[in-house]
Amino acid sequence: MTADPQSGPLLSVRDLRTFFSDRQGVIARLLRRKSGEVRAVDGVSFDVVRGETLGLVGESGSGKSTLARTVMGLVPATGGSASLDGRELVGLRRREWRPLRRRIQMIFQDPASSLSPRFRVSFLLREPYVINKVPPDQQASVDELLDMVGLSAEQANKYPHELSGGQARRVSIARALALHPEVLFADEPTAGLDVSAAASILNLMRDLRDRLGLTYVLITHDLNVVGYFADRIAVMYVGQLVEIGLGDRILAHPRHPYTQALLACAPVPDPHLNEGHLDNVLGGEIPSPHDPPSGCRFHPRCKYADPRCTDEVPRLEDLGEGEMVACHHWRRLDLTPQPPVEATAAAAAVAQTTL
Amino acid sequence: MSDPLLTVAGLEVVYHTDAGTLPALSDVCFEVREGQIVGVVGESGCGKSTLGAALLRLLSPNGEIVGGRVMFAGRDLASLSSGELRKVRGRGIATVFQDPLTSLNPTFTVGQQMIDAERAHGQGRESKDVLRRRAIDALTRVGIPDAARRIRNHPHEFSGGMRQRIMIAIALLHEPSLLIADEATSALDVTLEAQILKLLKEINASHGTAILLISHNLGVIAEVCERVVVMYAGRAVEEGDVYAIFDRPLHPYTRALLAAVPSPQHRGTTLAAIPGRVPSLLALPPGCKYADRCAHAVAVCFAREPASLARGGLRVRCFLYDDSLPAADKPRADWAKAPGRA
Repeated sequence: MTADPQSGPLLSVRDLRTFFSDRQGVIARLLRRKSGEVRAVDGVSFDVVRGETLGLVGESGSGKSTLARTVMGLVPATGGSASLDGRELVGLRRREWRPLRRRIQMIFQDPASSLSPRFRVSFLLREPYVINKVPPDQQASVDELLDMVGLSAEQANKYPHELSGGQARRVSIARALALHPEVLFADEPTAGLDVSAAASILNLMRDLRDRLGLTYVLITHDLNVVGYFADRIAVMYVGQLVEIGLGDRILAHPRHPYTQALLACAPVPDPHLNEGHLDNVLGGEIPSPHDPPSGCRFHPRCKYADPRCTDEVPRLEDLGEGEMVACHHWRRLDLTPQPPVEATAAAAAVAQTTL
Repeated sequence: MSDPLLTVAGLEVVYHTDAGTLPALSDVCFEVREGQIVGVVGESGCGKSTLGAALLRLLSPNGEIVGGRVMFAGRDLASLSSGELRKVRGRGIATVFQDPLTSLNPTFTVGQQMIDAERAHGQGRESKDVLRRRAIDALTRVGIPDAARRIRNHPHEFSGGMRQRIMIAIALLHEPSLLIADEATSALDVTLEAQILKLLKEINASHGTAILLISHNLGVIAEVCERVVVMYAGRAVEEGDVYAIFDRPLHPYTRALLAAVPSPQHRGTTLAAIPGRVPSLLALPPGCKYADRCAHAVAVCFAREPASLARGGLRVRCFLYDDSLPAADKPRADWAKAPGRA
């Protein structure tokens, strides 16, 4: 993987699993309804080195947020490991988490629901210090925190509902930064923001990365954002990683058909690039992790799928240098974005070689 | 060229609130021709949704159209009685909103709601079987598999993408000549968004349904629209052909919006975020509403509001293009002389 041989990866996740059981009520059990478990995160492994930004992409329901919450210890892991700088995080008790909390923080998806409406901004910014019992001499002042995220000092007296979406997002970022974390999970930091507000949040995150040497795991469904911001990209589908690699490589030469399909769907603000763009739209919807498809989980929606994909689970193949892909056919596919006619020919070629 | 299906001329809308009367739309003018897809784009609070609601006179009770005309298929919608308006809604103009869960009633099956919609728009004399048949056809057309069975499901039994398809099916029941899609794909994943956009384009091609697509997403607009209206603080600041708007935008706001979109090509650079915020409708500045965020603003921009001018095939509201101003008073920008992409 890309780990620096001297220091090792800062964050290392191995075969992490998060299952939710859907225990049913008495009546359902009496009726012998099918019960089971939801495999929200199902065997995910990746490394993040200090100072890099890993972009985590996938459709809603792919398990991106659950993965982040599991690493953060907010949802108990079913199995596997996640370690920060060599310290195991899975299975820690609340008290054991406290010193580590300061090193790994999260910006939650929806500031409206993660900022208590009953407290002023000044208290919301001090709250991390109260919870983590940080001695006063190690605390940054409210003004310093506001200044760090580009808010004026008057905002300290406001309540969350008095803030705009972009300002609320900045308060969330300031709260996460209060403890001087090394790793920051950012869950959809630009969702629901206008173009300009989103741009200024990304600029802020970039500036903080440079100034504080932050390591980000950026969760987003917006491929334009991840393409702009992430050094490496990990693509998730129904709880599993299907591809991980350098951002430039993934965008220019995706290896997994799902990555290709996601890229093909991203709307581009240029009418010249849109001729025939919608012809290649990925059909169907992401399956439920309650009852994932057999074999490769993407096979029902994949235009390159053959019988092997239905039967055999593809292994996440390690290609070295942090590049991984889980597809039986990736070596035979050329998924570099191309006109639809050639893509169809490629699909026919695959069908030929496998039949 | 076909005749305009919808002509909006000098539309003025205000909201009456405790804090005062808010001018939500001011002098909005544009056209939608038959079979055309027109996009309306802008940041939140610029009046996009108010525009969509005003066209069908579906404004909230404190909203009021105080000026201008909305001509649809040769009739002034403002002059119609509520009974006549009801015939236009659904059959002439139909709407799809952002959130299907608030538009669909959770306590009734999808089939029942579709039959109710058919009856509401004057097909009450037909038998329930005929109406049900038509509802199943409509659902099949928008790509809902196994529609004959699914019609008995309640809204919560469908995924977000499927619910949006149902909303489109309901909107298309009466084959309207204009479909207003207000942020219809904004809550969806990129894959589902692309599927819905593809569906809208197919409906447009096969039925000749004109579409007014309201979106904050420039990518979505570029993907499907032929013409674009850029809104800012209740004004249409620029309007024209999609290629012209994206290739040679004239208004500084349009240029700034386009420049702020992140992309892999921008990696390692600071994004051009627009300074400041959309002004509150409670405290609109007297001159050009964009002046305090505009890099080119000069005294005249703060003093009075620019008129809408025709320039290079576009309509634009900006003093950069107002040749009636003495050269000394006019704002300047290098690109304004020879418009081209930044």
